[in-house]
Amino acid sequence: MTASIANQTAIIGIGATAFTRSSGVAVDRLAADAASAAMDDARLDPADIDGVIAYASGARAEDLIVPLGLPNVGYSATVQLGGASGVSALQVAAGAIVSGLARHVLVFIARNGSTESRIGARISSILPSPQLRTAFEHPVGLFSPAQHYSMICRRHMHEYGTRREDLAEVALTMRAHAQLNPKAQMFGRELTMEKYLSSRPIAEPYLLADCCLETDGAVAVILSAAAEAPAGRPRVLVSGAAEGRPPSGDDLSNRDPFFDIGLTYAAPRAFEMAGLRPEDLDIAMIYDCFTFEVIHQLEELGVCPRGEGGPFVRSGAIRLGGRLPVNPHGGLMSEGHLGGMGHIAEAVRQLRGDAGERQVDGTEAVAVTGWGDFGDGSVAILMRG
Amino acid sequence: MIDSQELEQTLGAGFGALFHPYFDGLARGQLAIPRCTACGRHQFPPRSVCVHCRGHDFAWDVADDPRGTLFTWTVVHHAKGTEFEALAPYAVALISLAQFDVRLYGLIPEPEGLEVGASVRLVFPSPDGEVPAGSSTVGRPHWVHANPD
Repeated sequence: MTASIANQTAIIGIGATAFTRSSGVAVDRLAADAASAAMDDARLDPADIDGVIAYASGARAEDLIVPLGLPNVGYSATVQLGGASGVSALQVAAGAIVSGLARHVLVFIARNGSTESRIGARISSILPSPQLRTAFEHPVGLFSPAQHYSMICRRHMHEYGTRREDLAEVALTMRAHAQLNPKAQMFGRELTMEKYLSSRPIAEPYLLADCCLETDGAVAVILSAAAEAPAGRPRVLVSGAAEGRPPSGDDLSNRDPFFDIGLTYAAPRAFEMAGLRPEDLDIAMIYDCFTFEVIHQLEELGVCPRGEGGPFVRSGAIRLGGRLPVNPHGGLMSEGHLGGMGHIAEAVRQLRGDAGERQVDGTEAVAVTGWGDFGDGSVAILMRG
Repeated sequence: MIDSQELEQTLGAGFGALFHPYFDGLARGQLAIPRCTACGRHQFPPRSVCVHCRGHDFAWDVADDPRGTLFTWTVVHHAKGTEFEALAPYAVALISLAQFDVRLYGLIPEPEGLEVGASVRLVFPSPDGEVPAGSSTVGRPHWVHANPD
């Protein structure tokens, strides 16, 4: 039998700063605050951390290692998968732990994404094949993810009949969930269909209300061998993890099949590793950079067939109390956007039963997806065990 | 107009040379698409290595009359901080070329009345600054509705 990371590691600590539009502090301070909270939660000291995985953008490993004085870090890595990097990092961390390269791996993101490194600046440094952007996209007026992805959305609307109201249902659901999350940037700010429809167009079909937030803050999680999880509370096992790339991962224009994304390839591997099927999930944490990307990923995750994501969300399935609640914390669209690391933290809270008003009772299995670049994808299946 | 020399400098020697036939073609009012000499298939965007067969020698075929159909598009309203800000709202489309089996991104300055499958044609700004009939005043290659003629 080949070695597998399935159920060999657990997320034993989570920590986060406030999610704000303006932190007023530098990214190393954000990183230190989130990491300290994660170490406290894991009941570990700085000397216990021997692996660090920094996000593809924002603070680097050194920005955390130096201020916290982590003396024993002997393993470090960075995943270059855009917004899918955080979930992919769980796979990298689990591999390091199972192979004995590290014992306690801290995965983190820290950035002033609202006040310093907004999306326009971030993509210029992290997107793959920048020469294609410079040569064939910028000269025709194509610059941003909202523009790229809205073209996938429009084609999906054409082929499958996905509707404006389906996009709205995603936005309204994320905002409604955030009303149960006092830490969310959009807590206390409800979204109605009227407000959604009247939000200004950005890259049609995307309106402003179809787009995620920009956020200053940090999130950190700590992985260790499953046997090292602190006693006295439910363990959160990494039961399956995988990443994948669609054909022409660095370019959307000539992708064939056009609706393939990384998750199309990663999801079957992760479910097989975990020994689960999509219908076994209690919650899905979907990387909601834009509304349609939730519909698209639900299809490619295998929750519903390709083309049926619109009717699926239209049925109310993704709301708390629905068939498969999505992002109970409010997601990138309403809690805040720290590269999807907030999705991992929320999955842990839900599996521990610590999610307060928005707790989905009896949660045993949660999928967390990441989406990056031009549809690269990652997914982790986390289970209570 | 796209300054192809400046663009190639920005790209560096390697990619500059790889993409040169495309931009050289645009500057002469032609659309050129690379064809792998090993497997004979067209591909876009141009790459150093053929995505179909890993070949690395390409010939460039010029479209006789660059036309295509709309595969999908976005209408850009927010172009703040780019040289396209004053043009907004404009459309960026994915266009399936009629003559070669590839899709291209293209600028459509007039975003009204677009639909999937609609026929479009490429127009070039004329070297003497005259505006070709049926095109907008945009000073770079762009696509317009193709009226059946």
